[in-house]
Amino acid sequence: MDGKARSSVMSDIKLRKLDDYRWEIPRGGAMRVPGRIYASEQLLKSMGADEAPRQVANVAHLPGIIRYSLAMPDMHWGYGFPIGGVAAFDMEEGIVSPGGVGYDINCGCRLVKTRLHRQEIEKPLSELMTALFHNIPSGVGSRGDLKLTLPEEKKVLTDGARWAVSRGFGSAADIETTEDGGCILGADPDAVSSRAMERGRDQLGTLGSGNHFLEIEAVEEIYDSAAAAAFGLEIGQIAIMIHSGSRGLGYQICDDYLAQMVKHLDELELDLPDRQLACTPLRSNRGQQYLAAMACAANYAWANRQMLMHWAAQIFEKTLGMGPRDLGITLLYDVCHNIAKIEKFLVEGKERQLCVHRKGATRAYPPGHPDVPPPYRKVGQPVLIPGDMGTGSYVLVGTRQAYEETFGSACHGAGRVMSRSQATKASRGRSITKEMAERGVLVMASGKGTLREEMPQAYKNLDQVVEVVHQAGLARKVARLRALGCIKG
Amino acid sequence: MTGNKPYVILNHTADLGLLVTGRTIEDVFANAAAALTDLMIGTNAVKQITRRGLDVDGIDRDDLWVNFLREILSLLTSKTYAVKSCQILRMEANQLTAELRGEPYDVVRHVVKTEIKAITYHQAVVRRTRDGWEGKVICDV
Repeated sequence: MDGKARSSVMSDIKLRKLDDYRWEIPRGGAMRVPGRIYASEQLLKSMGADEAPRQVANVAHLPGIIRYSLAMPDMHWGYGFPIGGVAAFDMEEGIVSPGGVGYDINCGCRLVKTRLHRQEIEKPLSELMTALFHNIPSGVGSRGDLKLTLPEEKKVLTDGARWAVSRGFGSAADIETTEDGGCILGADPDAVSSRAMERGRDQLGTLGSGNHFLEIEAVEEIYDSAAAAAFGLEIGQIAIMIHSGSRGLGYQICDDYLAQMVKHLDELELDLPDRQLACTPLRSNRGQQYLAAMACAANYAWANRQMLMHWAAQIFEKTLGMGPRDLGITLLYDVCHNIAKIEKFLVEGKERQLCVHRKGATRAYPPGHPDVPPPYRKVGQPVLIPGDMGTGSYVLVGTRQAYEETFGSACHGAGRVMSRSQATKASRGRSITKEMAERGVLVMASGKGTLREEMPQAYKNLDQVVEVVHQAGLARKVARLRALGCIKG
Repeated sequence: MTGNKPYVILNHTADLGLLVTGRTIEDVFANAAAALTDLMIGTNAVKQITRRGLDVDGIDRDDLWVNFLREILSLLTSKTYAVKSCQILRMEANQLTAELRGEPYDVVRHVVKTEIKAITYHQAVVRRTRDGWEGKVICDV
């Protein structure tokens, strides 16, 4: 960091330039720590009309926050925390905030590898996409074929992806390459309201709507041969990216606890700049209850993505007339990007347990970390960063620097620049499906307006966002995948 | 809702902002209930057949506003009841009683156009304006 006090003004917040990719919001008012934003000058401009920097500063007001309130380069205006926000809290003095996790608890991505080469699916792509579109439940309020009994739903909440595998959805090997083995311990279904249980009951195994998707991609470029080899990626290889979360169950859990915490805010004697930041001490009963309920939603989301992957694999087999061995469908990795995790980090030379909130940010653990699955431990954790539907995705690998600087975190996507209504307006008179086809991407969506709301121009440039992550050293580029077909909710 | 809608969509990068206006504070709440239904399933698809009571409280007016919209949303997401219109029978600083008019949710006719996940507190406010009252809320979509 060159430390030159160059500054820039966004909203009413002053930013001090630390180096080409790091900006500081100096401590001011009731902020307990400074803010730090990872962005290039160019990206910062696209965040300019946004209230996100104000939100980075707001998070710095929360008790027990360690070092700084962070924002990743895909940052944009959220509610409470910015999207792309990361903040770690002391276990004794700190808080947990449902709004700092978000409504879609354990919204996340999984990247599924195949043995197929791009040329092999050129012809059957359209048939494959149609079969996926008709057989994977997607769209607003989508319901699955499965209506869980209450005892079975409770098993989903406590066991996560393990429940799915035990019921024949996928294989035990998938668990090994899922973050946390697809199950956070300490999940307690008794901490979940009946309203939430009901909302989750018939939505398991559904993609959902909005920015959730299932995409067929091909590996187009490899930047790091050693890491790509460890991840089993090669040029031309076909992969499937799945983006979904905990559906109505997660939304309701967040909402229930947020309402409770707002009701008891006066007990904390805190002057919060935004009620959406409502929180409770980590060591309080309410804090522990929230974490137990949040774990339930996280586990539900992992079971959900496990089922979606299993069905996608079956559809590939049936459509292409190939057996599982020839198809070679295996899970590269599954990351969550809306979560609060109890993790260990070095703070001022001492190892401490912290509660790390990642709201639209992914974990990015370094080589050698015990929580990196054994097959990848030598190179580091795969970091999955999807872009807009016309672009594709990146695979990166976690670094020591992220572990020391960002509580082992990197960005989670490209991040929006346009609101949904702005995108709808900007796409008037255009055929997004046709534009995507011209770019070589076959798109299908359940929702009438989804393709307009999700058009590529509504998002930041993925290459620019990933370049900041790479140059700042938070994660290193391994491979770039190009979208061939995308199913939106 | 037809003609001049008493609500407008506000720009929010990730989510959906809603500004509801009315002559009185009661109007703002009543209009907001219909606005939420309109965004999700369209009020034209809802018949006014039955009535349903609703009591809501909050720690103050803004919290009451969020909690009231939460209840309307919950009726829709649980596929229990679709609201066509609403009358506020009693409005106090931090509690209200409302009468909802509409019909039991019909999964065939009431098709969700926009999935609203939740009502957030971020910038949620109900206030007096020069011409009457307005309420603002950001919904997670």
